[in-house]
Amino acid sequence: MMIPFLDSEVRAKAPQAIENLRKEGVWMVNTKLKSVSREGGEICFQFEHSYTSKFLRAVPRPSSLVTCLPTSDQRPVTSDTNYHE
Amino acid sequence: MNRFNSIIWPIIILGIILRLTDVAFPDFATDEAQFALGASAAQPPIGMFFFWLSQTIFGASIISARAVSIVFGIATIYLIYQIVLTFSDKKVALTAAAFASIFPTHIIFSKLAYLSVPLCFAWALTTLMFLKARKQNNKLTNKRINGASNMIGLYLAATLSTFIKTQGLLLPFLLLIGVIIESIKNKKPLLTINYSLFTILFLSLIPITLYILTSPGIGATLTLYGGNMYGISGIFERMLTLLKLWWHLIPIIFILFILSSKFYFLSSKNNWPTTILIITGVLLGLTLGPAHEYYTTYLVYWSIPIALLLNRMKPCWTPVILTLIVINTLLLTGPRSVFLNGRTYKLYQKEGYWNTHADQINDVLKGVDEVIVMGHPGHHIRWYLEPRVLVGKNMDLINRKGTFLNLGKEIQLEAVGEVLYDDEKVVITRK
Repeated sequence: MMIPFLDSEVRAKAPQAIENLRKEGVWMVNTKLKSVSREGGEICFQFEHSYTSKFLRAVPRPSSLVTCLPTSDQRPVTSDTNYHE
Repeated sequence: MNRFNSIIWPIIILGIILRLTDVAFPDFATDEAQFALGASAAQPPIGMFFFWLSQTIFGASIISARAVSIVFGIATIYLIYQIVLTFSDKKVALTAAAFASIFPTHIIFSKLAYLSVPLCFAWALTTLMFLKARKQNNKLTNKRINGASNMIGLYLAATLSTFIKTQGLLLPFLLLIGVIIESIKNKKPLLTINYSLFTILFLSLIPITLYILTSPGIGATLTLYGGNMYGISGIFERMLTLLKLWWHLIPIIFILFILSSKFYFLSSKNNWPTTILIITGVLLGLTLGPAHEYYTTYLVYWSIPIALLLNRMKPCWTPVILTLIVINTLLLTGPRSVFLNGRTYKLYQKEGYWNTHADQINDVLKGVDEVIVMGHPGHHIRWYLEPRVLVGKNMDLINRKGTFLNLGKEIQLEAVGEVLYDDEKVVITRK
């Protein structure tokens, strides 16, 4: 997972990606960065989010959070998709 | 010896019993909840795995999480006994075990779900296996099976230490340095009797090194706290904070440690592994945060030099000193139904807010999927609240509707709405 961060633009965008997740109220400690990709002029960070609480221990529900940041002057997009493993 | 046993064994048993009292009383702290929920990116996984395992078997509860520390805490008493037995007699070993058993700060943290007690156990185990392996090497015996098992035990213990908590690698690393220095002092190359010890310790540090290099959370934590909390900046203030803490919690033991230090450190040149264990325990708090009381867990290793000190004193002093320690321990950590007093450790003075209010708050939040927590929520909020908790302080809430839990009486502007619940610490609103 360290290889995408050899790209300087990925490194520059990463803090904003994390900030986008924080704006959704996400507990960052429960996220894992799964992939970084370049798609159509954007850098997209895909995180796996597994919220943990003692009430949810038996049924973990990971969700996929993708946040894309423009490499050009565009508004950022964040989407929330649920999936089950 | 019978009279000695009649004093020592009740004290050992008392210490074990004290670790089983008032376990569920204090609120779950944010760090405890973080470890119990497996939610720390700054720590390797094995320490949190133990909490997960206990909760998987016994159910998710404060007691099942804290039970991990209880088990490791009791087991540490036995390890300290065994460590002393490698270089002294059974009487001194039992004295050390008795001190370890009633060591107040070790008792306190043996009842809380921090990683310090499991690591304290793992370090003691690593030191014991190292001493046994070193003794085996020095004898140059033909007992290859025992030698191999000690080496395997050392590797497993050292690796376990490194994966319980990030700072766990310190002891194996310092033992490795000790092996190198010993070889240089004895003017022997490493490719001699110390070779296998060097190799085993070196190999035990490789997995954690690779783990740290591939875990951004650990590096981020070191970067965040390095230079202020971590390190030796403001060394005199750190030392003062540490000394005040020790004096407040363990005054008599502190004095005994100072008295024992003089002859112990001068006479223990051949026992440098145990010396490294004791010094690492002392310096940990100094370098990683002197105000963090859980670092006083590692002071339990002081039982070793203190036991050696008592062995040199007239026998009549042992029961007197042990009685004074027991009194201090009972005042600080005794079951609150019997021993509650001004000196009782702060966590056991009053009932915690969340233990007494969580059910009521969850009733108010019944049917709510998500609650936005305003203020500075710790991980314990996630432990106690049934709905999913969102961290409100970074969120864009201008037009956000939902249920808000305000920590503190002041309702944040974005969270103003219908008041569903209001008490001395928390206000719940719905917008």
